[in-house]
Amino acid sequence: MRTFTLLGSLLIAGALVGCAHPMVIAPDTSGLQVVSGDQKINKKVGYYLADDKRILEVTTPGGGGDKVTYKPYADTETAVYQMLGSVFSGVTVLKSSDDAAAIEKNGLSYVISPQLVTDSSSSSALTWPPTAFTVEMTCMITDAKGAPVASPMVKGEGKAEFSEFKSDFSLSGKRAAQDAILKMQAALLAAPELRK
Amino acid sequence: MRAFVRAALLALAASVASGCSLMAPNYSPSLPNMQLLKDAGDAGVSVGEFTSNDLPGITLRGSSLNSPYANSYGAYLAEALRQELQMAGRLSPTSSIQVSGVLIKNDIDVSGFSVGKGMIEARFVVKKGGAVRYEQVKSAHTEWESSFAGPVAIPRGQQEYSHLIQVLLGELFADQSFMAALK
Repeated sequence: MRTFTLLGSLLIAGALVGCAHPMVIAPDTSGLQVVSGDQKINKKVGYYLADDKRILEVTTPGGGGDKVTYKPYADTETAVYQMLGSVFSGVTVLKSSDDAAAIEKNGLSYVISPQLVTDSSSSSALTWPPTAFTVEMTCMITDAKGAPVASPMVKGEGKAEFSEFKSDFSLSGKRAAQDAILKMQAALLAAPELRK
Repeated sequence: MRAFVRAALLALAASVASGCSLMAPNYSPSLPNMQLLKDAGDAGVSVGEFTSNDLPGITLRGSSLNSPYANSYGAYLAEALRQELQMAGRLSPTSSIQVSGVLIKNDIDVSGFSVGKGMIEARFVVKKGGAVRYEQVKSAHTEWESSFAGPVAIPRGQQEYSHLIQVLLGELFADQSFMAALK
């Protein structure tokens, strides 16, 4: 009986502790700066994201010894596209970073590939949703021939306390992703090398 | 000791099953899908009705998963198509080219302890001025890593619904005869 009890306890522990809880960090893009025509960068750009990044799952710490898992690129991709559309005069999604036919056909000046590094933590020992989240975003920008042009990097931070995230467990992640997108929009608009 | 074992089994059961009502996530457009629509032309397209009559509801270990669009999965598919067309700059509610359809199969299965599965099948019809230009059935299957623990498996299955629709629309947009019918 003692063995049975031990096995049962281990099963419960395995089921309830140390879980990687799924969450979605898709940000709200309503806060994107509306860029007027003369402030926009008058260039068309290609957006490229490798398929393996599109399905990449990342696991980072949550609270109470648990972890959280999410797809940073898939979750933020639409927001990144909308942000690029607000900064440049046109955006084309490319199948590969050196898709010469699409680059020429669409008159693209630059190819932009985002890179994300995320982390999370929690000050709570009792609840699993992260109370703090960071999204470090770098846009690798090359010209139409593949030569590096710029690589602006920003760090988005998001915090959420229990009273807030009890209705949205992903809140700190969404806030961090939104912060990164807004900062990247400002960084791209301020980059003189992209206006040459 | 018997009471402890019973309590342990109850707790275990609670960890793998629950019985509440959940909402599928709002649709999130797929950028590769959107680009396929952009590349295929610029004619405006309207979205008609997608019916889903007589389809059983989706159940995730005892929790029902409902559509956030008019509580109908047909409406979910119509909304997904609408969002993809809008992002591609091709949505035109007054266009004589209209896509409609019927949802034939629709399920998210998280009953397994290691793998979750999504399955969907729909008939798509394109009409121009009332004349049928395209009619075909498309299907999609997805799989993901699931879990023994309900608090992990259920929200994961819930999140995967939007991706299942993205894959189905990707199958549709990869069909050149569908794209030709939208011109």
